[in-house]
Amino acid sequence: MELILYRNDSSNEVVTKKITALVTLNGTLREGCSIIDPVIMISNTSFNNAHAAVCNYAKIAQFGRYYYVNDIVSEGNMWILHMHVDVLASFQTQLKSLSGVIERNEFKYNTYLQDGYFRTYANPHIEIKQFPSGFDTFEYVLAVSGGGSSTPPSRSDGDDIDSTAADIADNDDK
Amino acid sequence: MITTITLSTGTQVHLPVFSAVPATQTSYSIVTRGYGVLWDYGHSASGNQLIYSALTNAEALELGNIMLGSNVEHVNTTPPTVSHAPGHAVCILGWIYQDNQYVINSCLTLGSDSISYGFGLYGDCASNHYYSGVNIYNENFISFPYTQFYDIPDTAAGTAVNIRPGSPYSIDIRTNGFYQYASTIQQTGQYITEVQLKTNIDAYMESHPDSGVDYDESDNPFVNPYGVTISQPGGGDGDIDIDPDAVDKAEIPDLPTISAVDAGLITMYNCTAGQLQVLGNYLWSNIYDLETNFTKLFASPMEAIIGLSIIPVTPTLGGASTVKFGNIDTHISMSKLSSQFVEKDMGSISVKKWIGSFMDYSPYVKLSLYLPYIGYRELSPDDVVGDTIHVVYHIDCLSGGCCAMVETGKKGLLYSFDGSCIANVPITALNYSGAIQNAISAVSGGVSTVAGLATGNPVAAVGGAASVAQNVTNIKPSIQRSGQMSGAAGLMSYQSPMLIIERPNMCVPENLNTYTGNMLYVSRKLSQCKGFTQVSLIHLDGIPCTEKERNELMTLLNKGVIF
Repeated sequence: MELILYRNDSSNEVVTKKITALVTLNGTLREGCSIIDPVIMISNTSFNNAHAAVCNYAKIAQFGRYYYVNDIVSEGNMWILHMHVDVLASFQTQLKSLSGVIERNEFKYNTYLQDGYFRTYANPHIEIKQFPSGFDTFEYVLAVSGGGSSTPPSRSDGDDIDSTAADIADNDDK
Repeated sequence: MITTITLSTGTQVHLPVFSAVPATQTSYSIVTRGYGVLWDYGHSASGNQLIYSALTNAEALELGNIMLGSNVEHVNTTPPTVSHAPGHAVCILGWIYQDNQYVINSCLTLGSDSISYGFGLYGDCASNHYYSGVNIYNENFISFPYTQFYDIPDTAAGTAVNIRPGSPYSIDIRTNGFYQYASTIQQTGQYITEVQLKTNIDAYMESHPDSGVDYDESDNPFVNPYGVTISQPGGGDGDIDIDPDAVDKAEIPDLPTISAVDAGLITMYNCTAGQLQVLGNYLWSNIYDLETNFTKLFASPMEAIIGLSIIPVTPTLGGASTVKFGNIDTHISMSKLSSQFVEKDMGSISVKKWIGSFMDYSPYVKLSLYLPYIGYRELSPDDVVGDTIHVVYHIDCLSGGCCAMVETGKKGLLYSFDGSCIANVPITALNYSGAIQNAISAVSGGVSTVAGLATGNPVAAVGGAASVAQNVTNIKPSIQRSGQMSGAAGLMSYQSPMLIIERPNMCVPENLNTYTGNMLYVSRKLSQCKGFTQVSLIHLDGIPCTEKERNELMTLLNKGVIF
């Protein structure tokens, strides 16, 4: 069985990891081994301290899977690697062929969808817009009973008023 | 729920048919096509069981198509010979899935292919496929009377089917998972006359009698608490061809064509302060004779004055005329109003989107429209964002009533608010006391307005009033910015409309999209995705992984991965 050990510089959620091969080992499984959480014991002759310092990723070709190295334990002249499968990297080819509903994406978006990730400060932006016009003239309006009004006469003195009243009195007499 | 239906002849799905093998027969061949189940009743002390368990591996392979759950159609062209102890009853049930229906196409032959015993059907037996390719003679069915075919409605497919227990000929048939169970071997001359349809719960309860629930239908008849109506699929029957955003715009109307001044009983004048002084001199002079001129209608010339008021617009004038009190001409010239109503156009402003996102709309954005003589009114951002707002007042110069109409460029007239924009000038003592009372009422109702506008900046007075925090649930309360703004209070207040737009002050960390992505919600192939991607719905088909790994994959995709 071939075990390739790597240094992984990518975050766990990265599908295609950025990895650097450290050493390739060949060996035989001597005991029961999980395909998901394998524990591999290797000799320190082929895996030294320098490897242990940076090794955090592995591939077991026979299992068809990549693995995170979760822990490295030194025991005598052996190293014990505790690993867990990296399902994203192991099945990335099949995964990329699938379609699904993409909830969020880094580069594609629709900003009109409600998004709870945003935060707002307590002080809002306040914009004030004035309308072009307003009430700028003020007028008196007198409302009186009676609709009979006429074109103003040329006379404007008090005598005319008296005569008008006299005319009305005369008319009443008739 | 267990439903018993009475079977009628030849109209519904077939039940399997069981045939007993003559005790004299010690060997037979099996010819089967499709998926089948071979039963041997009384084969062992433990009861009925599948006969293939007694076969050799090779024979089992030959009968692979009859293994439970097998989905490979198998045509056994060289039937194996199976040794079988005499006296055992045998049932063969085989079927193929063809043309969307289960069709039995199997038979049991004894010794030679010329004699066949029994076959069964399950599914829609509308066709006669069970006869095809199989050498079956009805007269050779030693138990043929039991091979009555009963149809069950197609809607029963996938449910449990039970031939009523208690009958010596009862047979329970679970179609789910191809589980078969025969409680009693059928006997000559008997018929199955009723079929019970069971739910999976009923089947479970029957197999788990100690689970605490009495499933006996006679003891606990099922009663639908919601009445007889059974839920049905539905919906989607709208008219998808309509334009859901179609707008048949309402426009700002013209002024009323009918007016109080047209009736001739009221005359309205637009006058200057000087003209009013002349009028006052006239009223307090002794140049008229009450007895001769006012006895018909008025006790005083003052009674002829309906009102003197201040309005904030220039009324529509019809030319100069002398003022008359009833029939007395004062010979004082004033401009006569040609219409009771007047329009004042305040113009338009635009309300642009700020970001172009959900944050530009409610409930994140708040719009407060200040209207003179009316006060502050809330507008829905959904109505006006990305549009223009046009405000027009219609004013009644007689009563002072005003109507501010707000129309948008795209949707037309959407809002109408009413108020009063007249300030009465008291002429008599009675008028004066009334005016004072009105002013007090107006000011007391508008306390918040005075306080808010005292700084000269209405917004500052309500600083921090409305905002949007993290989510909709964190909306701050709305603050009332004004009280009653009519009459004298309105006259003293700000005279132009204005719009106050409160937008959320967003806090966006740098490169947030690399950590969380942005909302997308579209169906897409994952190979087309770059960067952070969160998949909410996906079928993880075709991935050669364990179930544990599949679950882990689903969890990771739901949380977000980086391609």
